[in-house]
Amino acid sequence: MRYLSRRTFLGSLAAAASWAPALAAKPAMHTRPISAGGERLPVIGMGSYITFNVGRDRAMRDARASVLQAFFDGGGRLVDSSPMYGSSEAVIGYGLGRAADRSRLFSATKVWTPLQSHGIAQMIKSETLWGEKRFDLLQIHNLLNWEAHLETLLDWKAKGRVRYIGITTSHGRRHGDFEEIMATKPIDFVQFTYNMIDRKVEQRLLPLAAEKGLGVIINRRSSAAVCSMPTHPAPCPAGPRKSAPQTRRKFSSNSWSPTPPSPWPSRPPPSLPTLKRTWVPGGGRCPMPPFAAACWPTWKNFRP
Amino acid sequence: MIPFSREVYLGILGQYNSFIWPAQFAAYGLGLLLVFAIFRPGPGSGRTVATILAVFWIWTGLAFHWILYAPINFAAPAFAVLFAAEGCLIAFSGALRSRLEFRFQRSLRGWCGLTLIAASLLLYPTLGLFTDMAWPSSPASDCRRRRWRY
Repeated sequence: MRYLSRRTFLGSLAAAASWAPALAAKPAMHTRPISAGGERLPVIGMGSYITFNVGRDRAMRDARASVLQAFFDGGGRLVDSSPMYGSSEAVIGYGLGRAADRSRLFSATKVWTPLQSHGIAQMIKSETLWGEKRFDLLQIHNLLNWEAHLETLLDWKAKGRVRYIGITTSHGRRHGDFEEIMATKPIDFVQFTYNMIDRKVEQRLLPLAAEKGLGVIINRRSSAAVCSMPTHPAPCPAGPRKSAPQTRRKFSSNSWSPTPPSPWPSRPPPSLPTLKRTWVPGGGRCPMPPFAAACWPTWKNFRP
Repeated sequence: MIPFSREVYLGILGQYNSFIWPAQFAAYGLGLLLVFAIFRPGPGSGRTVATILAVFWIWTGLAFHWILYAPINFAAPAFAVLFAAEGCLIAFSGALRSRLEFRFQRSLRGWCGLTLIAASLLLYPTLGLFTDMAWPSSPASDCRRRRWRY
């Protein structure tokens, strides 16, 4: 019979103690493949529209830098911006300059100008503002002069100045053009609006993205509150039936997977207080992204 | 779509008000002088009113839109150019060529103008008294939108 020696016992104890932090650590964020090469990205990214546009205010910039650090600490990688977002790119650069480790960053911004030559200058300026030598992803914002900018982006990609290129649309406009570009041009990413109110992309764009193997970034996925606006024409959705597990997964991830037919039940929509109470933990005000990462609607919280 | 939050916009107003302090009193005094000039027009009052208005338009375009507002709004440089252009036109027509006259007329247009003047002199500076916008981040614009209060 083998006895446990004091030395072995203490050694085992020390080994267990060294593993304890790892065991207590949070599980890594769920990832999805973004390219045929197999590169994966965490499913939650950080947008910067409005939230990072704080101008030169030092206190607000420091607060955003803290958010950025917390995002990286939590396993996030993708940070997305655009020259259209005012000072957001400068504020992201400020935050990245103070980040403990920016090696996790997957940098994504856009080109947004009617002129091709100005687009090149704009992308170079974005590199300076971010402090990046090469963006991971450059996209054409809302298809503005997409023919000219796509020519530039393809050239930059061939020269290794950018890793991935793509196109975006914010408000469901120009889906026909969008589909044509997806089908015929050698792009890597698409970005469009997809939420419980706006589900048009389920018709053609999402299946086409899956068919072509394109990475998908979802805009405005937390737009459930849109239906609470007095001017919004769409009624509030009532939430999915309990027997729709795939749809639950669909709205809990930034990436898309094939879905069954619409699960929306035909019953009256919940009131605004009900929406706030059930979709926003704590039932209070939910700030805009990126702070909304913790309060995006999840079916787990939905109790009609 | 407005690409900034109410908090940031009020912060910009706060910066502006702190930056020009105490010039607000001078601006208010000039505003009262304009009102006096349109109710008691005299020789040269048209040129005086045009000069003050031109300075206000150009100042707002450069000091507010170009310097402070442009970092958070991509459209602000265009606003700055339009404000400066308006100021230059008023200066050219009214201050240089004396072709503008300003006086109150009892017509719909006149009462509308008087309402705007009253709002700018009485309502606008006192908005902070009955809203949550404290000095220097006041007065406020129409930026209190529900969409920022998800």
